[in-house]
Amino acid sequence: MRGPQQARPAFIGVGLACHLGTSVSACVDGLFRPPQPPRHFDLEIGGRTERIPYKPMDGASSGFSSDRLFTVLEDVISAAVDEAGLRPQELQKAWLFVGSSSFDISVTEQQYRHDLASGDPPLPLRDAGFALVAEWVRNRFDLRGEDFSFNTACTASANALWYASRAIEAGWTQHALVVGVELMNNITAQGFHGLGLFSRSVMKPFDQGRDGLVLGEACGAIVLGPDRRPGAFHLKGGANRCDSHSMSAANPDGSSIAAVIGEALDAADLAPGDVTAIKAHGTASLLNDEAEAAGMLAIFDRLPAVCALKPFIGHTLGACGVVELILLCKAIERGQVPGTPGIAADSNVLGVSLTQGTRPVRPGNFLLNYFGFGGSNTCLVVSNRDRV
Amino acid sequence: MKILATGSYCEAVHEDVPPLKSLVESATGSCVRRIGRFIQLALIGAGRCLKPGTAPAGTGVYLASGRGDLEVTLTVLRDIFERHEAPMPLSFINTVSNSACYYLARTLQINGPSAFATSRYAPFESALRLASLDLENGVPTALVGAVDVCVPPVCEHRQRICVGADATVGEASHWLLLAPRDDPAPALGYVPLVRSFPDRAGLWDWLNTQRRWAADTVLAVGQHLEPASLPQLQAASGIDAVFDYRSRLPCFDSQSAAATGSFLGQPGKARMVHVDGDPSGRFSVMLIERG
Repeated sequence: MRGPQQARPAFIGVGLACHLGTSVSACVDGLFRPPQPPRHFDLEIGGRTERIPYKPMDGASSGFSSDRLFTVLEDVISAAVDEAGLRPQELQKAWLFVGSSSFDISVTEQQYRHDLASGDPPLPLRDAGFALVAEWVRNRFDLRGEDFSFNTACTASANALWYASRAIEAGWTQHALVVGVELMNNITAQGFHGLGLFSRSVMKPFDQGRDGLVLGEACGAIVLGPDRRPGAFHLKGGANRCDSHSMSAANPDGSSIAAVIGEALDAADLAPGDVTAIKAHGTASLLNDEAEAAGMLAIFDRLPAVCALKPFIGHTLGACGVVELILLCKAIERGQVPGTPGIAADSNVLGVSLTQGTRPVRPGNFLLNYFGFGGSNTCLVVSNRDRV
Repeated sequence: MKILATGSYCEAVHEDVPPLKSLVESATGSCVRRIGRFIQLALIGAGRCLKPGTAPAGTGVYLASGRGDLEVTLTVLRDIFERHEAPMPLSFINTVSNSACYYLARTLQINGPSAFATSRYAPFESALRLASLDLENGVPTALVGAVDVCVPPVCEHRQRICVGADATVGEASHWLLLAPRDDPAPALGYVPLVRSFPDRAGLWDWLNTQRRWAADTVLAVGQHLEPASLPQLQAASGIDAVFDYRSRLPCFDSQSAAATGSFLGQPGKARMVHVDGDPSGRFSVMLIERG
């Protein structure tokens, strides 16, 4: 079943759109300016109007995005494929891995609203399915390899990337296209509101003043494949474990998060001291930041630089795996770890302080944390130091 | 991969769906509260495959489904757009399909990898693929399954899953407990191969390699292939014997998940080649051998 072992694949093409911009360079530029406060939109919830904080994709005019989904996918994936420079035959054989928590539910919502308004008998979720986004991508880009759609909440595209990299290492395919996408929709906005997880100000992970999250829209795409350039970023290791402590929060003692970090470092054949910097999940919710901080402190005797990207782009849920990885890698290629001035400036609260200004960084090994509803914990280790 | 156990639930739905609470309790030995049918179905099938506390803690859960938790997603949509009410928090969380993985892990006392991953025309095969990657990388055992729920009225469900007005629809939960091939536990069977082919030529080349075992092999055809393709597959593989596991099944999205348990559950030839396809001309293959 296993093909000949291949070299670890590199990230040979990326595309990105989020609150910071609609190109990779524009998004990375935004990391070197202080995070901006979120916008708000009005949402009817149970007969009341609520102000929902969010970070829409750059250029988006309103809260909901059903008509933009496929345009955004087209633009972002095209950018990744173009940069990768794949020949048509190579692209055709590439495997597809899509991660999202909502997939095309915005399209379903629009159809449902239309049916209700027109008086037609509504049939919500008609021919719906998680894999319809993947079907669209396959048809649009003429992909004939296998396809996988991951619905593991906020770890979805991180898991997609983890399995894609290993599918190439196993010799099953030479190239993989990994996509994470999350656009605003009613279910997500109302669901998070009902859970009381929205911030009344800005996201402040690990900070004494943290009071919740801000949703963000984003789409990211990465092409994985062989690349002999020295210093090319690649996935060096990872782990995915189920935390059965609670449906909506990791174990606050940090044990389950420490376990998945430890397993990811083992998979990367690294000791904690080999980690140059950490990209925290950092949802700015009370319990999850507590658990993440405890987990990191259980593994690291002395924490390396820790940064958080959600203050810049919001919580992009299932897309954050790919999106935050692209942002981090591109910032590091510019020689800097991004900073969030004024957020978790000291470590007195949870034992974790975030980088405040941009911090110079050399090639190294970088840990990325992702934790989601349903006990889904995933950690990835990327490196631009070596590749075997 | 080695198959250690199988477990399943599959029932046709004619009008109303039957209650599942007692079946969950008998399959898992525990009363799991505040869960919908999708998670109940997952627990019944998986609990019939693996008794709680009997697998290594690092066992992984790999769940596929054509449409996930239709019931809870419909409830949330109707709350928002028809009743103009805020969705219940737990209902919202359960719209994320890996909620079922959480209940499986908690109930069966395992904490390895957990993934809800699927594809439109080969959901179960996709989950098998991911499990095989993890089994080759140190995960001791893998619980792999596919779950599809039916939400009445049945006439609407038929439209939703795109089957004819006279089709019998149903609910299903089919599971395999897998280990690496060199695991010392006794084997019910093996999965020597699960893979796809981008086109007919690749499939035909592979089927031709199966001729040497044809006399001891049955051919099973998945739900997305036209009946007319069967004689062509027989001719390409030299396999005459057909294993029909689908004629007894109601319509649901992940029928191929039923093939392995059905094949191993009755006496017969030593191997099964299961072939399915999709409208774009790709094919998926599962090769199953008896232990």
